[in-house]
Amino acid sequence: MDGFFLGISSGLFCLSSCAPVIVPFLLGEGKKVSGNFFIIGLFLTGRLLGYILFAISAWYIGNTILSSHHLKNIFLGGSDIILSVILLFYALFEPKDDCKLNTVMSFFGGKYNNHYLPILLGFITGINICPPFLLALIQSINKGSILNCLLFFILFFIGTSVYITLTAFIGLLSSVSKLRIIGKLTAIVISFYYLYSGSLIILRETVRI
Amino acid sequence: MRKNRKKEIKTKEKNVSEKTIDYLPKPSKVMLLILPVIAILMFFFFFNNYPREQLKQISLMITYFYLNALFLLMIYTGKTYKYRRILFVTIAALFVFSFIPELIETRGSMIVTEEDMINGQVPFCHIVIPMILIPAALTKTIIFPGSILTGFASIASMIVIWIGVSLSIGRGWCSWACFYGGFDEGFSSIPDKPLIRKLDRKWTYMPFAVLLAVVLTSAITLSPTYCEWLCPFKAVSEFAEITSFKAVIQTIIFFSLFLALVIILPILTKKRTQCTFLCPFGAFQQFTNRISPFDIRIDAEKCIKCNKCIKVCPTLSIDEKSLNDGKTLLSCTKCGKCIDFCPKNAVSYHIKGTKVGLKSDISRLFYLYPAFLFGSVLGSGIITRGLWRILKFITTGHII
Repeated sequence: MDGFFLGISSGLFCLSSCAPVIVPFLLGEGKKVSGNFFIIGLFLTGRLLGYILFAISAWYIGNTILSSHHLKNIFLGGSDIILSVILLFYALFEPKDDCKLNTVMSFFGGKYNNHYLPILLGFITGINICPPFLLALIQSINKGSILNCLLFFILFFIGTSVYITLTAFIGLLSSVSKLRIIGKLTAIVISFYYLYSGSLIILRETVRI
Repeated sequence: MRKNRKKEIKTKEKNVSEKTIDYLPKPSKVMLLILPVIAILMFFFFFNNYPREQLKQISLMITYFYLNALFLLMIYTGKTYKYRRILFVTIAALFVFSFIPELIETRGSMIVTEEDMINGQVPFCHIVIPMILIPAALTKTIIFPGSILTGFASIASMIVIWIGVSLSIGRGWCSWACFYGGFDEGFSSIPDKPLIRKLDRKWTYMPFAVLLAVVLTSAITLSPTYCEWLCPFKAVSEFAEITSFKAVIQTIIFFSLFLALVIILPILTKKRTQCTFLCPFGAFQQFTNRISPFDIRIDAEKCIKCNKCIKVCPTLSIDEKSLNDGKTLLSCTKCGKCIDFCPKNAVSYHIKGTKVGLKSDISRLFYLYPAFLFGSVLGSGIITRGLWRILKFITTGHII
């Protein structure tokens, strides 16, 4: 249960880190509370996948990422830039039936819709190395086996997710039609924040080399 | 030919802007109505740290009579916007003459150093208010390098003033109290006609997007991100030391936004573009319009749907739908321009819960008293200090 309590204690930090990503998306979609819970579910699924992937990688690769400040920063900067691109894409791009993206998606037997975006957003935020995440990673590696490590991470994930699910209640404002436009505009503004943040980190690391 | 054209436009505007006043108020009635303002301002000016230096005393006297003269004209002529604009632009212009020299006197430059921030010596600006709320609730700290109780523009004093103004006049803050708003209002008043007439109303949602973005990012970074990245008024107040690449980018952004949104676009559009398309505090203040007892309403019986109010509104706060509903949008700053320009006196200040169009003169007075007094009390220090600097320059050749 350590993982769960660690997650609960750092949940507010996770909420403040994830809110700039998920809140504009929820507003932009303009769904009611139930619809938002579905989107949050997709977001958290992506986040869980990110967590599990990172946990497994950390277990097998070892302390490489933790000990290398340089590698950690490159990773952080890169994920910020990817987040920026996704948010800009969401805000500016309206998929039409005949667009090339659907041609690509048809190879996978599907059609593009905005449901893929929260999974992607969740995944990127999930692999973002923030202090509570690092703490959880260190503690999980000391668990002795890969299964215990995974279990610790999953419980940590559940603990942090408690606060994030509260953002679904933005759906109470879904009757305000202007919020969809505000959500998309906010996504554009925040994408610049992540673009700057990621570029600066990578630039610093590159110059240092 | 150009002069004739200008004359024609001015005559048209004058004909439109002249209100059909049922009666001119008697001078005795006017004096009675302005007495409360004279008395309250007298209390603030002369019974509260009266200066000893002669030049400061002269500046104080000029400010006192100037403010009372403006209010007298507002009451006597029945025109709000014209004299409010004069006051507003005066405050903004003299802000430059008062704030910048004071910074140079106390710090040596407009630059805020890390030491100033650590010592909590940065004057608190009202625009920060939305950004400090979530971090204050979560971490019990104010994420602004200012003094909570002491010094010039302390955090506590500004928040108390903000609460008082918001409860009474709502977003009227943006047209009566904000010491920055006069900049784009002033520049928007320069041309006779706008060069750009059509503005996409979707951009009026941008302040909400900026508000949400800065509130969320301030919660992550625990610093006021609007002040760090987007405030155009850093160009006329204070900004961080330019000692890094990041600081260079920030300074470029501040000056670019000031040039674009405060000077160029207001001149081209005759709108207050900074307040309408960027300011997150303006978006935040729109919610206070719901609790303010005053709003602006349109009397459907008098309205002839000429749409003049829609065209002249400096913050795009009236559209055809709201006009049909007989009211302004939530973004209304209660500047009074639509009221003064309506040819049929259909637009008026209104006390919520009362009948629209009934005793609108009284509703106007009830609004003007708190609005003018807040604006005067907040702006009087700026005007006095600015005038003092100018008089000092004239008499001694030095502004500092």
